[in-house]
Amino acid sequence: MQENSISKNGLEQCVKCNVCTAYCPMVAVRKEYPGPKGCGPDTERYRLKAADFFDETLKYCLNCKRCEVSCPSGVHIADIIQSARLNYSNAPRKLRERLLANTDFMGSLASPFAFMVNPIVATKPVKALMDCMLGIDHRRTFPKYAGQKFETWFKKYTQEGELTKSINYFHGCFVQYNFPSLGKDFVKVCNALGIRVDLLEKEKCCGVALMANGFGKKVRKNAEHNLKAISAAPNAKTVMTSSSCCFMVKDEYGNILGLKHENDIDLASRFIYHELMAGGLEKLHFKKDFALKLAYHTPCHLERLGWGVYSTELLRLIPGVELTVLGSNCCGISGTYGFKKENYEYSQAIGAPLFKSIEESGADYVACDCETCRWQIEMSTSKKVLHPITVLAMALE
Amino acid sequence: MKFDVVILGGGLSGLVTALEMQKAGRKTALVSFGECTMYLGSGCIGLGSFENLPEGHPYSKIKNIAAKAACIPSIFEEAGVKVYGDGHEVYRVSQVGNLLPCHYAFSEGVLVESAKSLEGKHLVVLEPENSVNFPSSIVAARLEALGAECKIFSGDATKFLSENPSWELLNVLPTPPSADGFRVMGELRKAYGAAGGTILKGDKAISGIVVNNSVNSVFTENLGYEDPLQASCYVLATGSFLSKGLVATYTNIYEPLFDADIDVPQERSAWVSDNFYEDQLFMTLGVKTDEHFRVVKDGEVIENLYAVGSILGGADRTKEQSAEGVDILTALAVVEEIENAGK
Repeated sequence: MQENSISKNGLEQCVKCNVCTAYCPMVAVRKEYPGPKGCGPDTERYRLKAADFFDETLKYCLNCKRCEVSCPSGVHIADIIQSARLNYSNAPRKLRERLLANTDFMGSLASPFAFMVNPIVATKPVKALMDCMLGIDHRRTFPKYAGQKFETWFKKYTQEGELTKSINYFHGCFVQYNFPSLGKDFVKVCNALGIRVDLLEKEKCCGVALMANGFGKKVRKNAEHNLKAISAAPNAKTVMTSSSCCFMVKDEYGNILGLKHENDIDLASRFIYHELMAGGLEKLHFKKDFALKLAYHTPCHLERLGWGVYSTELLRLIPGVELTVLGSNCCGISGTYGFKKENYEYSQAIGAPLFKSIEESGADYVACDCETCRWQIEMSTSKKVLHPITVLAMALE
Repeated sequence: MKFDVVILGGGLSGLVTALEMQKAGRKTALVSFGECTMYLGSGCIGLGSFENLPEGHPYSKIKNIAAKAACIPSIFEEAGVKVYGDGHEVYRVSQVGNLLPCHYAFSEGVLVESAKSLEGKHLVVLEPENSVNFPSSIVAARLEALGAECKIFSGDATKFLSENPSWELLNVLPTPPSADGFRVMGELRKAYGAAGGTILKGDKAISGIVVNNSVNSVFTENLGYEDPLQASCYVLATGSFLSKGLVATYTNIYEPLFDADIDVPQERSAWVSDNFYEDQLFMTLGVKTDEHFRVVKDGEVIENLYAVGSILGGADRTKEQSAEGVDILTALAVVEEIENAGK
């Protein structure tokens, strides 16, 4: 008898209990999706025999990894599904997939014209046009582009204070093109703790959206580039504010793309929590009258990393923060998935329990480490979303 | 990371311990790898019997067990889960139409008073949508043999039931996964989160450090060696063989986290009986504990490590139909032990 798995994803350990199927947010709303067990370990056994056992129902998988978190046998179910999609799918990639997946290309194109692009894509006729020409749902609110890129700001900025330590910061596309203020907050917090922030020589998109849209070659190219840049960077530790970028580089590069690496990848909330616990808390000057009621939403990828506890413990360290942790639910957007016309309804149905719990929470703001959860929550509820690092920056004098 | 109590294992026993400790004002963390057997089981609560207990049965160590059993519905109801049954032994209908003893259910129409009570009844047996495995005709035949008249319904029976008041619904809980188990665990977890508890979901305890008969710290896979979990008390709720709280090899049965003592006969042939229907020794194996449910290792008690649920030896949970009872009642007993030890 074979006691241990020889497959890298634990395929042989599946006992067919179906817990993952019961746990899958997509199964709950979309009947044509056979579910994680069916698309993962069940049919993988056939695909190992012949590639033509692959079928396109695997595209319904959100890659939220909730199946893996629920699996009592440690099977990497979503990894099996995503690897199969990258290896076997022949579905044509449309213009829409190219536009949505190439977040850094789109960002560098749109950023300089943010003052025009933002109002234009928010107008009804443009939304209607994108809906019928591209299949990007007209009900979706687009993340706004910032006029100045984060890196442009960073180059002009002088970091001050007694900086005795340094780290690399992987800012990701969201901070670079859409929301530089989160990157600025991170630099501000690090500097206050005596830490200098360095950027990578040149970072490319982590590739999470490319992978989701099936651009296997491009995602591998980006991953190889980033790993080289991280290895060549001045500091051993590379920190990311985005939980999905962090999960992608730390786990998915190795588990799905086969690019195993030993780089020290950290999430900003976890890194800052450790700094505060190691004496950093005394270095900070907090506002006396700071008071904020927060509800924390754990992004699916952060839950899979098992690091959500660092974000919640970090928030609990901030004087004046009153925190409730929301029940574990997927917000439904899953990066670019929810932007697509045919997915919009399902995306909102998956997120509905989360939206309800947010409205009932009585919080002033939602806190969350993921930018796409943020878009979804801000579009679908009455609450604004703050990154834990931003909350900390707000609390400082 | 520092807590008052760290609970290792997020199944029914671990979650009830964590919830009750958190409600009592302790700062707790719950390490939970994968979903537990509540997702596979009946979705009912069976208590078994409190009398004529075999030697070493966990129930025999519980003080005021009847009073604790009477508290069971309130644990769930406080978490917003409706509980059916008044605590005396009744029956549920198994997936092949057998009557199995149990005490409480989480859905309407599950509990049956006795085999005799089925005589002359008109029962609607629901066939779950999309379930190809549910043998509804076998269930109906078994119930008809007991004198009931059955109608198999797939889909919504509400209209039929309201138009035909002499017919009543019989809720046969279908094959795994268990919808009720799923829902109940979700609500308990929500209540635990709302009470301020910390769930380390999908995380696994990988090693525990014991110094001078006391657990000093526990390491988990996701928090790594950088962040040991530290607490004044630890609760071992890692379950039995299916949940890997106990591990069986060809030569040994052991508890992987602390290597706690287990009375395992050396001869492997003694672990099992060839006759499937006879008592199986391995079903009753578990870690040794003292009279306060504290875990014994190398013959000595670990002072701040308690065990709850199916990792405890002495009960044949399947034969007794006492799985949920052992889980909840040992959890409540350990909560009381920890409270008393703190005084």
